[in-house]
Amino acid sequence: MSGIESRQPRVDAIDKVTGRAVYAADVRTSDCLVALALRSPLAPARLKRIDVAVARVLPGVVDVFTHLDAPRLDWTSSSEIDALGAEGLGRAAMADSASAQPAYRPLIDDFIQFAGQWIAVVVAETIEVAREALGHIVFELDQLPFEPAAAIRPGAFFGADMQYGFGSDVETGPTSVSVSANYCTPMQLHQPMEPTATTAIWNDGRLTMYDSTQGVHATRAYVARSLGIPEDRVQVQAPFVGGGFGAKNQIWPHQALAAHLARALGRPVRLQLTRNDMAVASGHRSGTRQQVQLDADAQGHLTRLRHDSHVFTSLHGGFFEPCGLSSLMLYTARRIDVSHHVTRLPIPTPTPFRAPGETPGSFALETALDELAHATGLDPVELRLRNFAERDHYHGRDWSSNHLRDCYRIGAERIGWERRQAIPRSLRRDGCLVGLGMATTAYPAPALPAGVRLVLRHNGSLRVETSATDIGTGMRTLLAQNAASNLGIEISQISVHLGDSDLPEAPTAGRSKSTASVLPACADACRNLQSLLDATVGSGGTLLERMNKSGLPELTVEGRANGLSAGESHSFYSFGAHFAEVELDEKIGRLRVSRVVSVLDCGTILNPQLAESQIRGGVIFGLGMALMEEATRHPQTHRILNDNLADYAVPVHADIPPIDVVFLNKPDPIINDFGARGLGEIGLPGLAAALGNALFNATNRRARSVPFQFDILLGS
Amino acid sequence: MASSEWLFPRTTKAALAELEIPDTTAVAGGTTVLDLLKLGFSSSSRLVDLSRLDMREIAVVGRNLHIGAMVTNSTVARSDLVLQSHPALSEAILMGASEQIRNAASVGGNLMQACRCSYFRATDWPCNRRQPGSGCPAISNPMAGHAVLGTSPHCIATHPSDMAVAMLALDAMVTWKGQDNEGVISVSDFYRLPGKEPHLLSHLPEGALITGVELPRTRAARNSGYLKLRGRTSYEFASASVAAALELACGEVCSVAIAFGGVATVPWRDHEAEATLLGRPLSTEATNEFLDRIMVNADLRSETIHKIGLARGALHHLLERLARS
Ligand SMILES: Cc1cc2nc3c(=O)[nH]c(=O)nc-3n(C[C@H](O)[C@H](O)[C@H](O)COP(=O)(O)OP(=O)(O)OC[C@H]3O[C@@H](n4cnc5c(N)ncnc54)[C@H](O)[C@@H]3O)c2cc1C
Ligand code: SF4
Repeated sequence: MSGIESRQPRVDAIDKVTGRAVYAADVRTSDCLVALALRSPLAPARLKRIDVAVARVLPGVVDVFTHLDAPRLDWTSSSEIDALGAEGLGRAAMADSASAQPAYRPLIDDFIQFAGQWIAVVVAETIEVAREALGHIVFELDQLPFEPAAAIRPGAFFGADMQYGFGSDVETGPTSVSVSANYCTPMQLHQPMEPTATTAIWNDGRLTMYDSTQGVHATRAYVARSLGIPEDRVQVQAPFVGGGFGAKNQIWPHQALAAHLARALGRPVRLQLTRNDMAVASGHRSGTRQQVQLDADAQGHLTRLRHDSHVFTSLHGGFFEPCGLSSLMLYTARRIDVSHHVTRLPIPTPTPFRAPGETPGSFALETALDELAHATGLDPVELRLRNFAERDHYHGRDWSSNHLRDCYRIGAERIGWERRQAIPRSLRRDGCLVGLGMATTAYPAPALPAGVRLVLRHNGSLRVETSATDIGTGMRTLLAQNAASNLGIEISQISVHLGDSDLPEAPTAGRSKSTASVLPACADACRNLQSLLDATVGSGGTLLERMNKSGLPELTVEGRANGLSAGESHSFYSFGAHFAEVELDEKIGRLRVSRVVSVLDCGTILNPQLAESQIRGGVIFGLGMALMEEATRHPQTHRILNDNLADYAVPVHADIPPIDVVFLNKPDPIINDFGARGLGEIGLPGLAAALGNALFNATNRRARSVPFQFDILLGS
Repeated sequence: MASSEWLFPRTTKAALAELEIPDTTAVAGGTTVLDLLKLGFSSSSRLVDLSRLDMREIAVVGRNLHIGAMVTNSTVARSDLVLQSHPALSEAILMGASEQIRNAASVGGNLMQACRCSYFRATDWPCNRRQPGSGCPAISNPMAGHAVLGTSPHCIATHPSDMAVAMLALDAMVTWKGQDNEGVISVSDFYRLPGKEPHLLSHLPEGALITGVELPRTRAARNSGYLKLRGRTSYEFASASVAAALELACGEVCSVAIAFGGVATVPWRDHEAEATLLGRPLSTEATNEFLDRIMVNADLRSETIHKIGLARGALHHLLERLARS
């Protein structure tokens, strides 16, 4: 145990707000060229003709590449490359004939799979020239007719069955109430603060890439494979990442393309995605249509939970929203049936987006539970308590720890749940209808193998090194805190070096696993350092004294942690409950979320300040999903209409209510020495449902789709 | 993009002379002009910066409040004179854009701002307003922000300005100067319906500059307000908005002006419909009848039909507030 539970502010906060932190597009090398891409406005189509002659001769333009130039770039496609990238994720589950075809890579051939697909890339001396050149490219497309084929029923994904039915041995009475409805969630765009960029620099046959990625090792593997060179000739650096939310979790073709361009042109190249590119070139969350049926006995015990999800993917990609994940294990039911139906469309490949699956899935499931509570006359909290899963029936394992019932109790106390009236439209304030609602959230707590290296110098300063990335979560700060407390030194003595594929391997930041993977490795490294010093100079004295005594200029040790494997005897999940209060002026359809209380069971909290900000961020995402976020597609061209932040609304500060984040802070006795589970995503699932449930309590009108529409918000 | 020549005339006369030369555009705060350039709109080769011009006064002149064309939106919104005699104007401006944008934006530029239609802004869609005769994808695929009033088969883009809606309800007059002429146009005659030529925004003569606006200081204007409804709490254009100026005598309406934003291709006002409210107490029925009359010819699509309910709610809300004060 390391007692690092403190409100240490981010160690890199000043660097970030003063612009000292160097992001992928900030890297300045002499000679660096800029690459920008031209997007197809429609799909599916054939590129009949493309003329880059005028663009190519503009002063400042170095080269222009289309699919006809792929050989000059040594740019090809193969199933091995596909398997390492974003386009490959989920293809094994889909297992249809399209999954066996080459996945999307831009500039491979004349087939336009989705609107937004890159059909030409300009490389120029400056970004201004590159932009101008794009405007001089002339092309002609033949739009192809499109009829979606029958939906595919994919196999296991995210380690869980996508088509499943099972009975449990729980005892219930006969079914006496049943609710069943369709729920819709929108297509959403990640749009992190930092648009993706890659700066590729070759030196003597070796490539250094500065890339905004959530995973430097995965990027290295994909890029090396694409270039056809050994991985040890590629170094990927992502010391700072300005948010990712999944858009930088998988590896996209453009990351490799930057390296191919730089190699072909013999100069460094910075490939920059614009806001519009970000809507299509690095994934999105697809819209979903889900049907949930809940049957219960007279006491509200679930006799059956059925959750069917209709979701989308691209023509050749594989990722789809696994909406039914929570339905498999979160509640006890005598029978549970989950199915997924995936339709291929001429759209860009969707990708994980903060709490994929659970986010849209929990909107449907947690709204349906509220409908069931209303139908049975049970309090929504009581209904959930009656169906609390004492163990993970789906995996047939006990929870490593699960204090969800405490979350319900504390959340209800904090929001003043006793004020809630079971009969909707009962509460008013200042001429507005007031409603209270709640929902459960849950998210898996995985951990993968990770390594951390420590370099202690004779002056007592310490370097902490790992390839893990800090995408805004606070990993850099947690590592500094961990090393400081384990070694008894000041944080100011420590520098943390992250996001470099030459450093010890750690997993990609995603699926809320970084803390539980990397911190145990850091603790191990600290122990190894102490033992090494013990062996060299014996125990006693401060770290600096012992280092001086050793007479060594520096000492290097590594630590490792193995993470969790599929064969564990327990199920590792984090849990929580959201409670929300909304106020609606139904005459003008003005909805304000007045309060959110989120109570979470994520094991030990290592740094409450960082942890709270993760949960708050998740809550704000959920609020955006419920109130305004929705990307829409033009029906004929399949092009995203609001692929920019002027047209795609995300919450502004004035939309955000006081968010009361409470952590139970009860150590998970099994997961690791800290008792800590990840918490990057759990703030989001359930939030939209909690708001919709509060809205129902206020209005007696049930929002079964998000964002809430004016027909629900406006009274008649 | 070949960089444009920036010119900095010091007098209105000099600026007008520059504007005579073809392929020249005036730039005030630049919050529209530069935004469009960044989106890839073609740039004029010459840009005339108006920031050195002396059009920055707010003053009572005769029976009117005069506001110079180069006064910033923030300055107007916070002016004591405006707050006293035309509160709707201040409210409308403060509900628009962001503080940073309002600090840069000018009165003249705000009146002349470009529409926010997504097809218009992304330069690779056809769009009659951006490229006359190229077509209008919004007709077959409207979005929630498109207009329901004043539409034509060639364009259904909503007029974006909040400020202009308040000015319309406040009977503002736009004063302008050309090389060798000058004139006054009321805001109600200032904008053109899209018709067959949606690229023509206003009746301001080619090459002329707006020099300012004149707002009559009436009792109704003192009791005026603005309400804007939108999908998020700030920093978004109106889904529907309403500006009104109201004077009651013995509980009956003796003067009323009501203008709508966010619903029409130009700031929208109907004097005949207003007349039905005169001489009667303000009642729910009267207000509903008024709104029904406004919307009688609305061009409704499933994407935009919610605007009727929003405009109705906003109108009730605002009139109730003004009737109380
Ligand atoms: C992100 C964003 C959000 C916004 N939100 C809102 C909103 O919610 N509500 C709202 O109403 N507006 C909003 N706006 C628009 C904003 O109000 C306008 O961009 C601004 O008022 C324009 O003023 P400007 O001085 O910057 O004009 P400029 O960009 O300088 O000029 C705009 C146009 O006016 C012409 N022009 C300027 N001055 C004169 C003059 N004196 N005579 C003749 N022509 C002239 C220019 O030639 C140009 O065609 C928003 C803008 C942005 C960028
Ligand atoms: S509505 Fe008007 S601005 Fe929008 S695309 Fe059509 S013509 Fe262009």
